[in-house]
Amino acid sequence: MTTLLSRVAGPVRTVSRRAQTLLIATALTVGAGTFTASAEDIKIGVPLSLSGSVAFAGTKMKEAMELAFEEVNSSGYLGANKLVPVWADDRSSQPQGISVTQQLALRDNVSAIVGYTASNICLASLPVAQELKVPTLQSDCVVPGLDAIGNYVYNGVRPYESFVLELVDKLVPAKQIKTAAVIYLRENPVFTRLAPAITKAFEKNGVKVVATEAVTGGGDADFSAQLTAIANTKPDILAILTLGGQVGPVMVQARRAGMEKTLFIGEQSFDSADVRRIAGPNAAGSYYPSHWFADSPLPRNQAYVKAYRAKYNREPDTFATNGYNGVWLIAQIVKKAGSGDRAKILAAMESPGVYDTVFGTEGKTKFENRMLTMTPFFFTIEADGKIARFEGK
Amino acid sequence: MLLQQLVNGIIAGSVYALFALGFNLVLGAMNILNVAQGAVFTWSALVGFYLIKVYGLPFPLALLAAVAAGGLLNMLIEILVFRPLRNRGGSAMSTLVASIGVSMILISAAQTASDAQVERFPFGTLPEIQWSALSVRLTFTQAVVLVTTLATMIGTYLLLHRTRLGKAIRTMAFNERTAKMLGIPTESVARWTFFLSGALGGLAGVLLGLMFSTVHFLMGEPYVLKGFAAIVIGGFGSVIGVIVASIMIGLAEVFSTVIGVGAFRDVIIFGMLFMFLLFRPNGLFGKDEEVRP
Repeated sequence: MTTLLSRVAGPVRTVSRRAQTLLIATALTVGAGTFTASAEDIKIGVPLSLSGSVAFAGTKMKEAMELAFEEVNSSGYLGANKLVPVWADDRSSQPQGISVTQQLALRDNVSAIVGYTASNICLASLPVAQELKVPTLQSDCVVPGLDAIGNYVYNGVRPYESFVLELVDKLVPAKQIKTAAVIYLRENPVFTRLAPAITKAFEKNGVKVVATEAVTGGGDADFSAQLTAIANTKPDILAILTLGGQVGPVMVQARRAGMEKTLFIGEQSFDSADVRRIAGPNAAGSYYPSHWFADSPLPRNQAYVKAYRAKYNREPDTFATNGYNGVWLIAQIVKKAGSGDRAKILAAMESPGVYDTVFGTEGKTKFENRMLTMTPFFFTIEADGKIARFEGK
Repeated sequence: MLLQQLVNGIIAGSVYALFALGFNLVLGAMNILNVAQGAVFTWSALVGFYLIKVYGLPFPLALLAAVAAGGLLNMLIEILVFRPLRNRGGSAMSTLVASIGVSMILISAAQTASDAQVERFPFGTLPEIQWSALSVRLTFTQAVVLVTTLATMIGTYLLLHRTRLGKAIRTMAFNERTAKMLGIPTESVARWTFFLSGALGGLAGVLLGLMFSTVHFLMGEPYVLKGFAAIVIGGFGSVIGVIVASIMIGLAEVFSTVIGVGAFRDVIIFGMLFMFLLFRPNGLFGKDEEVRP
């Protein structure tokens, strides 16, 4: 609750907390002026990867989404109406992703869908949501092309490709990089697309790509053969394009294979406390972009991070935050729609508007071509494991 | 680089061998393809990890406890699942299906216990020492894995060939009815066979988790198929065969990367498996079944 309240908490600081809550909830409800008076339970389908290979991300999303649903409902943000999440586990599998999308749309008759964890599941499931005409806000898939699925599908995050390529442009001159290598997960469309894109970006910057190796997903954790082959080429930088659970082990094994001074570059999967915990000092010299970071001074972000820590006794990561942000985005859309009617929710999504988020430097953002606009930050992991902003120097 | 890749392949293969030996023991003696061995492997690694991280146990003690946990878990599976099926005359297919079910239950439980997160053994569990000679790097952890694996392989071989339990297991592998007629307590032998198999799987789980800096609920999955491939290639029931085949698989994986076809390493391994099934179904060291007229 505190997160949204903190957005407008400034002027009413002297009022008691309870009164403040009531005031703000009333202001938000009345101010919007579109909400119906009768109480309604608005069912929101939440498909996530809660088991299987992507569960490490899906379970974190669920935690933060639970927090967001609690905040939306307890703050009275939607007046007397409540968002009722209908959770569904896609088991990190495309067929299951399609199946749970159909169930949510047809059996549970949800008003809208928010969620999805893995890009390959988004690729399979979002066309189904479009076909069944369920307003859907995917909140974690970063594969390109999701904006073209159709008018019912909106994106609460955007492809990282452009962020990573922007980082390459900054990093190459700053660190005088001459040679690069790429290791990527060959079963995930995000990485199979990103691998050639980053290769081109390196080459465009005059960097010679000396090795490219593929790894498999699932439980595979032995990357020694690929990393030995890469280490033999002595790259200045290694692009690690794998899922979060594999990034830490790749970093450790890369250092062991002889790449002691090699820099690492990656994408969203780098931005996790787990990666830093598993890689430890081996993560030093890593660079990645992110649309969010825990220390972002946005008041609502600070409130979110505080609430998450208090509830779960650990740090939120990007996956959790994407989920949290997705719920608050759908809450704002439902508020605009004024009801749980799918047609009205779609109309609200399609109408221009500015949304409050915990992302970026401003927090305020909007949809362009059904995709949330975002400004990336760039980060580096330092020798002591701390995260620092990378400004391109 | 070739020498380093050779070392990588031998180390990876030796851990596969530990896993496959346990797999082979149950398959050879009981004619049960226990797919749940992968989940036992995972659970042992988790037990070892929590004992070190949460309770601060020294590595050797945690390793022993994790190995014992693997053995006991597998023994429990035998008592609760396979024995009742055997007593009801269950077919090989019913035990296979049951083991898949057990595997799924155990993996789900591991996911819940670990919160689906990827963990690693704490830094400093073993000294972070690395030796380098002739362009080959060997870490202390890898050396521990190699020595432990080698000792376990020899121990398993001696146990099967020089002890009463080993002889009983081998007799059961030949024919369970004959073993009963010879007065071998087959139920007890089955229990211990499962214990040994789980202990070997557990040892592999901890060593692999330590070596590759990762412990998570799906870590056992790839080893079930590789273990099965090692048994087919090495020969059902052959300790030496399974060890040789496991090292071959480790080397095939590594050298597929060396020759630039690393993305197809599973194709190579399972292609090998297919070729053996077609042209040498008894594997490298397996013997033709003797049929009396």
